[in-house]
Amino acid sequence: MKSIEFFRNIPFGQYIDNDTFLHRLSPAVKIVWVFMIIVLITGINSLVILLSLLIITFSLALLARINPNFILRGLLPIFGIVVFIIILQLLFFKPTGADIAIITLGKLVITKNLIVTLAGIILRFVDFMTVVTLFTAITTEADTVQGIEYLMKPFSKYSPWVHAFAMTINITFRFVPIVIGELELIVKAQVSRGSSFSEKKLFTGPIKAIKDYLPLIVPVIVRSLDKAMLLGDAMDARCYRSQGRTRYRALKHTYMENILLYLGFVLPVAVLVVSFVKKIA
Amino acid sequence: MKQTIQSNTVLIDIKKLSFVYPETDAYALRDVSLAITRGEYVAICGANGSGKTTLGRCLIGLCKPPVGTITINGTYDPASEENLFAIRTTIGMVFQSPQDQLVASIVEEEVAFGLENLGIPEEIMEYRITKVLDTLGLAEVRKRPCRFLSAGQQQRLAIASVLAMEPACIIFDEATAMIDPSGRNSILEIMDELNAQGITIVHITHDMQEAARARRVIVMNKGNMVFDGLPDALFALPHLKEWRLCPPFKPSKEKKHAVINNDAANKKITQAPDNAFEFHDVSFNYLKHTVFETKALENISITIPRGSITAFVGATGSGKSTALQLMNLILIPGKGYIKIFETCSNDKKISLRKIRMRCPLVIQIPERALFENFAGDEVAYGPRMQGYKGKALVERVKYAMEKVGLPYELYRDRNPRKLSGGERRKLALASVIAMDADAYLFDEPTASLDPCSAMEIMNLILELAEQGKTIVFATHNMHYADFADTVFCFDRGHATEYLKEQKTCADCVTAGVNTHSVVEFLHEKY
Repeated sequence: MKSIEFFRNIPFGQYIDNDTFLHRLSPAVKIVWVFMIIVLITGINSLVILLSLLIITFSLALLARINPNFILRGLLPIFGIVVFIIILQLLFFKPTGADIAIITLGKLVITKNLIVTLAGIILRFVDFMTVVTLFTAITTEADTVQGIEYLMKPFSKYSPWVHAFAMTINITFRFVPIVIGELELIVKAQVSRGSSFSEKKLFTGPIKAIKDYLPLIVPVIVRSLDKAMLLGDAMDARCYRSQGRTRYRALKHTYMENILLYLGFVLPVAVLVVSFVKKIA
Repeated sequence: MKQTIQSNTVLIDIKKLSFVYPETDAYALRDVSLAITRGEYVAICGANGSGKTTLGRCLIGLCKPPVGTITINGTYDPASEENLFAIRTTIGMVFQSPQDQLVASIVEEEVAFGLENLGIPEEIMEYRITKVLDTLGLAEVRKRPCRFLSAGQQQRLAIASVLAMEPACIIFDEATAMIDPSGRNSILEIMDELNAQGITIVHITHDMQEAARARRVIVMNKGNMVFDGLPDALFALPHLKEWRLCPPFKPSKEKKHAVINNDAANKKITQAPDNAFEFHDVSFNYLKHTVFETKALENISITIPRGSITAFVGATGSGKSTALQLMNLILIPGKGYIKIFETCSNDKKISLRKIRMRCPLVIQIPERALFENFAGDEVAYGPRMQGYKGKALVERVKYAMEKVGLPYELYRDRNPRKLSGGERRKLALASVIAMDADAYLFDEPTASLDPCSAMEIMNLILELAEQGKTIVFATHNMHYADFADTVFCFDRGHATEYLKEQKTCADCVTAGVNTHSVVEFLHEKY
């Protein structure tokens, strides 16, 4: 028997207030590195690099004094999606002639390439979730806005919407815990009136989960929109505007942060180029 | 603050203002005319849906009235987009929900948000942030994430954020409705202090005790302004009930309250030999084994007899809601166990569903969790889960809807989202009352309701008790707590029974400021 606490397994979007150099690091640098790691995750097929990225992310989490369990918990909600993808791969994977069959169960043939492909998919999901969760755990919402604005400075001359864009991304991040909170609230109200929401059966579990969650989509969206309207009003009431604003503690980069920023752009591109050249060779 | 009192200078001038919300027929505001001078302390009162919040929103341009004029500071009209910046620097607004109005994640960044919008230089910003955080007693939490503050602190932060912008007037839109008595008192004291410094205060409220603090009261009823005068003159009026208001509560030695039909409350409890709920050394931590682990309850051992009315009182975060959710087994005790109608929570074979349906819980602001498209379906959800079908199901739905004052034929096919705030609360209550249960748990059932709606809800709860049902409710309103047979005072995860005979509550006395107002009231009351 477990309590109904949705936040337990959703660390994404939750800032952990530790005073470490990673927390203090310029948000612009963090955004570039996260973005580039995501580019690498999607562009690289090497299991070694994907695994290395995972090890690097967990090492950074330890440096930021964030318990790896905190990040691992975030993987539980995507477990179902990963299982679904594995099933699809097993059903529709077509082995090529050069492939080596490892296990054969009737029509189902598990080959070496299939295992490599599956490992790649799982690692990509895990890499993506861990890096984004780590980013939100070490960067406040205001810092995220400032970081995006800093990176988009070259475009701000041409568009007045750079700040608005940064603020939109900030609010999107901010609404992740809000949506989860609203969902938990409605589930608690239903469960209290006898819904079997928290009682899952082993085999009918996924179907039951879909049946349980579907009716909640509309009320959760409606509630989240209400909350967004309230926040919008509160921002308007405090004279929010995207231009003519000043900055409390404007973002200033140190020499080292500038180097890290440029490295963030250069390194992943270099890795992609090397990988591409190797493939051609 | 820098404003000085300029008596008789009109700050807000409203002439023949009318407003209708899109997709509705009824007037939210109708022909409202009034003037507010600088330095005034005005309370705008009225029932839920009377138009008081709409009026406040019109003043800062969040609603654009098509009919009538508003003049701010002699020249600005909020209907014009160009004037909004000037108006919102003159008039600030603090909203009802503390969490929903916070923009930033860290306290000092939250205060800085408004100043950044005004284009204030960084050095001046630093000075103003330090000053307002000191003034509002938030200096110590300056670097903390906003979400880790209590509701009272969050609301003080919202005030600090507005105050840092140095407005001439602050509108408090039911800013105390969702916080506990000690938090509320501190906000009300802040309002008094700000007014003494020359800031015009417009306090939108349906709490008559709060309204009595103002020097002038304006009453709204169905969009019309029906009263403008001194608080004492208002409370002397015989027809307050027509506007769904009542005079402020004055402590009396008699238990029976003048405005509530509390025959049920005064009934002799025929206690069954057994208890409905027994807490045995129960502890609970939220998000256990995570970095956000928070202690909510610690070693609680209380018993609640069958057929009794029990109230949980205490500050926000003291553990009242957690205790109610444990009683419904939405939360499972981390340590110890709860006996719910003789069934142990740590018995692995129990059916959680069956227990929950014996004691359904009405969560805080329950209308937030309405999820069906038709009111009738919403009410039918619980009984249907209990196995009611066909005619029997319709009967239960009918009974519950009639009971809360939402006639079945009239309301069954209406979309819950289109109902008024008070109606939505009643619908949420009906959806639980429709269930055939042994006990009903209510988490702050009267929060954010006007006095008459709150009384209707309390009478309904007391009626259930009259039928022999066990009632447990959490409340911040000590007058309602008075109707319970037993009162438990919660403080930082501990619960102590208030001992009526001894007129004291040992743990509460030593608990400190958080429950001070509870003890003070209970001492006075009994």
